[in-house]
Amino acid sequence: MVAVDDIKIGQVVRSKAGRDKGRFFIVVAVEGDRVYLADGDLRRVEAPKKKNIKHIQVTNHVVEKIAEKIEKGQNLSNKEFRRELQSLGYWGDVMLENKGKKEVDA
Amino acid sequence: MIFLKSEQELELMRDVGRIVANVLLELEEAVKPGITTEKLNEIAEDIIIKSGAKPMFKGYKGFPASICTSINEEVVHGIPSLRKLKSGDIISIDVGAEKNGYCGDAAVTLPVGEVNEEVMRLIEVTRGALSVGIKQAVVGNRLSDISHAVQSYVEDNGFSVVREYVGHGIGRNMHEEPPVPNFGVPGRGPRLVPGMVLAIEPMVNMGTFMVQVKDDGWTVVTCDGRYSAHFEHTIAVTEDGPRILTLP
Repeated sequence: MVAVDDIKIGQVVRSKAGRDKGRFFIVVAVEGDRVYLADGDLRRVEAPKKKNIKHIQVTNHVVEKIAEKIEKGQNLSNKEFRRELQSLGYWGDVMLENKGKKEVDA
Repeated sequence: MIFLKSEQELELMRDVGRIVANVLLELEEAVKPGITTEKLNEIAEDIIIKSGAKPMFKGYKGFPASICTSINEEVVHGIPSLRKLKSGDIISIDVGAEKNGYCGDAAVTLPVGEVNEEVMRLIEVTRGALSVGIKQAVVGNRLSDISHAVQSYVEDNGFSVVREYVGHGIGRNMHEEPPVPNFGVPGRGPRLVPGMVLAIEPMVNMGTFMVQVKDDGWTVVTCDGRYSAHFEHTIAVTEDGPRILTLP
């Protein structure tokens, strides 16, 4: 079970429910037991998706670059989100570390 | 003959794959109503050359550009031109590059401006079909396990898979053995082993799977005029599972 304290801004998480099930996103805000998610693609930074923390799974990746920008109130770009996710090996609902580790199931 | 790539060769393919991915990321930003496909071609070519690579498509069997830009009912091999994109269009962009003797090939389909729900669904299902195909690219599977997974996923979602154009092995050449169809029964074709590198590229149509080539001799269009989407990645089969080479 994911607890609110476990989730950081900039964290890469995976959706467990809804039409975006299986897809990976970056946390842009946390409010109580809800998180706001964006991936620069299905969910653009201008309109992040609000999700219950019950419906997400965390990964070990926190994108510091994006976390810092959010903290400083700087502008975020969809391209940056797509690039950061893809360079960590996340594409759509596929997660493959760049060295080619086995795919992780939800 | 299927060429198996060594770890070193895979590193080189990852390098060129990175360039291809970066081009697609830039083009995703550039795609807006009003931009010409020729401008997209220029942006792509510029990045490829500045990254020390060569555009792989240019000159291949006489293809005149560095990327393929296929709009709406165009499936693949669309030629960049002065045509301007408009809201409601979808555009499939295919990028190929070669560096240090090795090739990378990837494609995405993007909505332009406001696109209707069913067309967005076509794009998402095509992307999903590629995901599903990638997950089958594991040691011990047979090649057609990929093909079957793609076809089942697409057809379960009410769309059709193009038969006449297929994915392909890739390495020192853009097109190598084996062909990777997007349809078929499972359990056929070569056994997947580490070192195989495949360009998996589902082409998905809203209506009939039938396609034809336009008078320009290149652009492939759906026979019924309905929209088509295309996604592609270059994937290495490894002991640890499939590795997408065309990522930033």
